[in-house]
Amino acid sequence: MKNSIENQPLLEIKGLKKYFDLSSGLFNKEKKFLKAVDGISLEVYPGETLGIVGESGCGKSTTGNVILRLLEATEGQIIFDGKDLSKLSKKEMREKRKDIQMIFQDPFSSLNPRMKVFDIIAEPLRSHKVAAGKELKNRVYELMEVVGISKSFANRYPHEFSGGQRQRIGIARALALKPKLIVCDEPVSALDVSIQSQILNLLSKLQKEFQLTYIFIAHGLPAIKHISDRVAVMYLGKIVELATKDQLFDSPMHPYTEGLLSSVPVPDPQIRDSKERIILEGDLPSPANPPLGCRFHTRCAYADDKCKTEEPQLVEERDGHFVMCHYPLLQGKGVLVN
Amino acid sequence: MSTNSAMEPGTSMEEQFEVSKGINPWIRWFKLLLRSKTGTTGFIIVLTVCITAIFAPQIAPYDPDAMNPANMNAPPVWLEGGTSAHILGTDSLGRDMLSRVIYGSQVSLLIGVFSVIVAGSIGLVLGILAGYYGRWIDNLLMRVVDAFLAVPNILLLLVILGIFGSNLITLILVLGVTNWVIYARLVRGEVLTLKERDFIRAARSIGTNDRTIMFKHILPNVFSSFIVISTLSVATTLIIEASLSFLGLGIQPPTISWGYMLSTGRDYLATSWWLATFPGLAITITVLGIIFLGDWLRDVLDPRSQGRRP
Repeated sequence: MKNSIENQPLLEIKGLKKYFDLSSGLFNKEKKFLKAVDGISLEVYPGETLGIVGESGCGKSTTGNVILRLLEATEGQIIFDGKDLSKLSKKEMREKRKDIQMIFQDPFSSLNPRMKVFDIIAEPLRSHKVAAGKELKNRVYELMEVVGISKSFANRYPHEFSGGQRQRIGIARALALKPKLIVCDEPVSALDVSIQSQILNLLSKLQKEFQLTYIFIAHGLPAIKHISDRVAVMYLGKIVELATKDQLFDSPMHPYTEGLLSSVPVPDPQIRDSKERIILEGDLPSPANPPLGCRFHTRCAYADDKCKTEEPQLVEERDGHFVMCHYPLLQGKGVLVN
Repeated sequence: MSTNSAMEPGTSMEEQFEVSKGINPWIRWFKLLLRSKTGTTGFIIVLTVCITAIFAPQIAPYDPDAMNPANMNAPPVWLEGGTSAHILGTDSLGRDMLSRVIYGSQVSLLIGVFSVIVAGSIGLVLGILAGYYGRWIDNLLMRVVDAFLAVPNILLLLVILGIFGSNLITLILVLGVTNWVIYARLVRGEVLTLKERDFIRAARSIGTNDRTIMFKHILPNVFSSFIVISTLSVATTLIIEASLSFLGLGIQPPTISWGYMLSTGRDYLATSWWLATFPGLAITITVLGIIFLGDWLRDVLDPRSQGRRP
């Protein structure tokens, strides 16, 4: 699956920053910024799923919103298909939106309560005047079928559906324009566990069927493991580790990733007891005032003085395995190698 | 309710239901109306008032301006001294109260409904623009709103009416122009919260243009609060019109409105209470009817409450 690495990336993010201005008041001259995304770079290759994982407030959703220009980037480039999205005019961007779509987290807020399912799914097609009349109708019914919703529900309103069904409607809407890239912003975290896997399987099926590329944002590792080819771990606005799924889950190199992996509940008690649990202590520091040096040092079990003063860079420690740490864990299980 | 696609006859309940729904929108709406007691009551009241206003010359037993010095301040028929010739009694100049209340409905209804329409449309449009675009448009419009709120409405009315004179059209326009701010405020607030909802972000990420977002996503979702405020405003407008009459800047005699009758009847409250009571009652009942109707309309427009349909 992953020989696509040699291909041209479909999306390339370079030094992306998104700062929110926190300074308020007319007479307050002091500028304060919340650095939601603080200089991240990554590449997404055609046909792959890049998972972005991190705690709430680490900037993963902001990244997704900036890619779609629902928020304007403070700095950096978002090169999609050879064009920098952040520099496109409103009109050019509108054209480009056909190729990038989004699936939202909350299926109860992402569908207009006053629109019928048919109109919701038809909206992208109407907005871009792709289809009309009979053709539009057929296309919408086709999309409903693809995501597994009976077309007899076309005239119903969103409130008549369950969370999973609503998410399917959201997916149908995202598929309507045959996009190349879909940004999935925590698409399953609002759903029941049993429904989660259904939606994840649907997303995988659609990816094969339509050669889609996903950026899959989530805070839960199980969903990420299920669907991703490569995974980026974000902490306080930065990518701290970027690797293929197997590399990341088998031998995480960043202490934060290790902590995240260790926090996933293990169903088998014997395996659970044999594993040493690494508990991440403390809370996420405020992104308005991130710690100096390595951002993770306040919660890291291995931190020393160097970590408190010097900020590490994202370096490729192994083939395709990037980590931002002075003392990456090289054997996975908590063995510190200097 | 825009795309009511006639579906192929199918076997499932849903499809049958959808088809039966698509027959005739008028009949469908009427059936929906009959299902709600509030809606029906409101509809009957409003319809009655409208018919009264339109056919006032045919319905009224007397000329509303015909004076009869011999029969001044006659009480209603059920009181001592009342006659069946003047069911609601007569006023201080001996004019038939019933005929006056009937004729008064014309002007009151026109002012109440149209000034709310004028104010509502200005407020709705500006509120949506301010809330949706934010930034300087929002700042500018909201400062204008603040300015309007800072000046007492009645003062503003006095100045404008003093300059332009008072007739039906100016009165409607002026009442509309001075009242739009409450709508603008309300709508803007609603839009601000709506704007953060995912479905608006979804529409933007799809590439839907601003106009469509405002019409298809925002407008239908602010409509219910808008309807409620509008129907309540009809009442306030009628009262403001009454106070204008009281100050001599409202409807000028011989034209009559309920508000005018209310304010002139005030002087005789101690002796002939019916002079103010009947126009007041007429206002109350009309406003109640409009509120009922608005309530029903709000319910029907909300897809979530349509589960009550068969």
